[in-house]
Amino acid sequence: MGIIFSIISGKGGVGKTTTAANLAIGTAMQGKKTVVVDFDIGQRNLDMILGLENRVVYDITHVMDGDVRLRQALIPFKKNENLYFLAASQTKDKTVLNKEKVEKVLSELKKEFEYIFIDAPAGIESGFEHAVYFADAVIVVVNPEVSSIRDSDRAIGIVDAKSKKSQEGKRVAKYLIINRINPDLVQKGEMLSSEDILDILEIDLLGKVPEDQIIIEASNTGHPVILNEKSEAGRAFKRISRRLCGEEVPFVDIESVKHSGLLKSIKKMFQ
Amino acid sequence: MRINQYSVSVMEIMIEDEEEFLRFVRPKLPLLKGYLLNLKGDVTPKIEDFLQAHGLQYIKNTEISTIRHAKRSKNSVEVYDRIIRSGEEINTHNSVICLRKVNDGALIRTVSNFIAIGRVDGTIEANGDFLIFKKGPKGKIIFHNMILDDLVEGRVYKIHLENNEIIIEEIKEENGNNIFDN
Repeated sequence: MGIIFSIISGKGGVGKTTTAANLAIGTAMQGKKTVVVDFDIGQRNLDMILGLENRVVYDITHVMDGDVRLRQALIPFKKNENLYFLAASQTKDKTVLNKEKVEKVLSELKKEFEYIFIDAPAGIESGFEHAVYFADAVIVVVNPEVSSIRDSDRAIGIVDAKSKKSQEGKRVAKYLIINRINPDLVQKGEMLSSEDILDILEIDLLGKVPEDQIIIEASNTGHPVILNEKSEAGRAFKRISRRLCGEEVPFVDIESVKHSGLLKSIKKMFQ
Repeated sequence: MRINQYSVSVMEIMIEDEEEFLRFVRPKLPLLKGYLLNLKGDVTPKIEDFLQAHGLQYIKNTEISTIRHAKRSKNSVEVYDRIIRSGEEINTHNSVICLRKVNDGALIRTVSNFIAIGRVDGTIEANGDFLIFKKGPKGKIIFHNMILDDLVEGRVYKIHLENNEIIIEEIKEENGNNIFDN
């Protein structure tokens, strides 16, 4: 039986969909049979990030309504045979979701896949609650800014109060990814540090991802950064994926400013 | 004969200085509209004009007998051994003990006492005999309808009522450290 990870944030625009895409590819690269599901009904984006927008014919609402079988709606990711994608509907809205239908689809996916990533919608309305209700674990994506932290804190509270596991008195594992860390701003004290964020949210740190301009290009071209060896964010997502697969991977300091080669040479002259 | 019965929240203020009173009231106008102000001391025409212009209800130098203490004697205690997170609202008649933090965006409202072992960054409204907590940078404390906005971040406070006056005490260990630091 697979594990369902819901990727949540509270606030929109923090990089949740990018994280879902990269972690799904990352675990697939580790040899795990993985599926990533876009739960943002009416606002699907994950297909574009994965470069699969031209392949979407059927989506999750077709499966839930029994119009097609799950296998017909699953789209294979060409760059890795372990990864499949289930799209959200772009034409319907979140009211089409209901607990029984969602449970049926997810229990089918759990039988087929080892890792199931759900890209939850932003906010805390009904779509969000459906996306976290059946989660075995949640991955909370935050940016190092106060509004993102407070909204995530609220989202964690809702997971604790409303997920199926919590209601059964079990613990839902919660992991934190701090995304878009800018070392210059952290050093100047203009951006919250990881310690500040962990102090507020008190959940386990899964990884830190630096700000990386390559992500914009990657999203626009449908070539996720984890596939780009030159991308620092891509390397961070790889480390996180390995941790998710049970490997002990040391945390890399991405909050200290790295000096350029010239500056390093000048510093050495004075040592 | 027709009788309507209302419960009214009264805020009693002793005025010693006209300007000091106006400085206190101006930033709190939205909050004070929910109260009947019982003004004591020198209620000047300027003060009355100001209150009337802003639609605040007030009475002057009136003795009001309260039954506040008699009503509160049989409350029990609610203990929360988890973080109270943003968006959570606890409304209770019982005393509240939070063993962990109260985060920014959380609201705890009790007619009784409040104790937090972790840092308080949320909003606490309590009307009991006392509060004990460590003030976080974003914590907002309202005790018997009085906004306590001059508390210092990082300090542990005991706030209590003595002869209907609010007493604010900082609690420290003998060595000067905060008691909740470890």
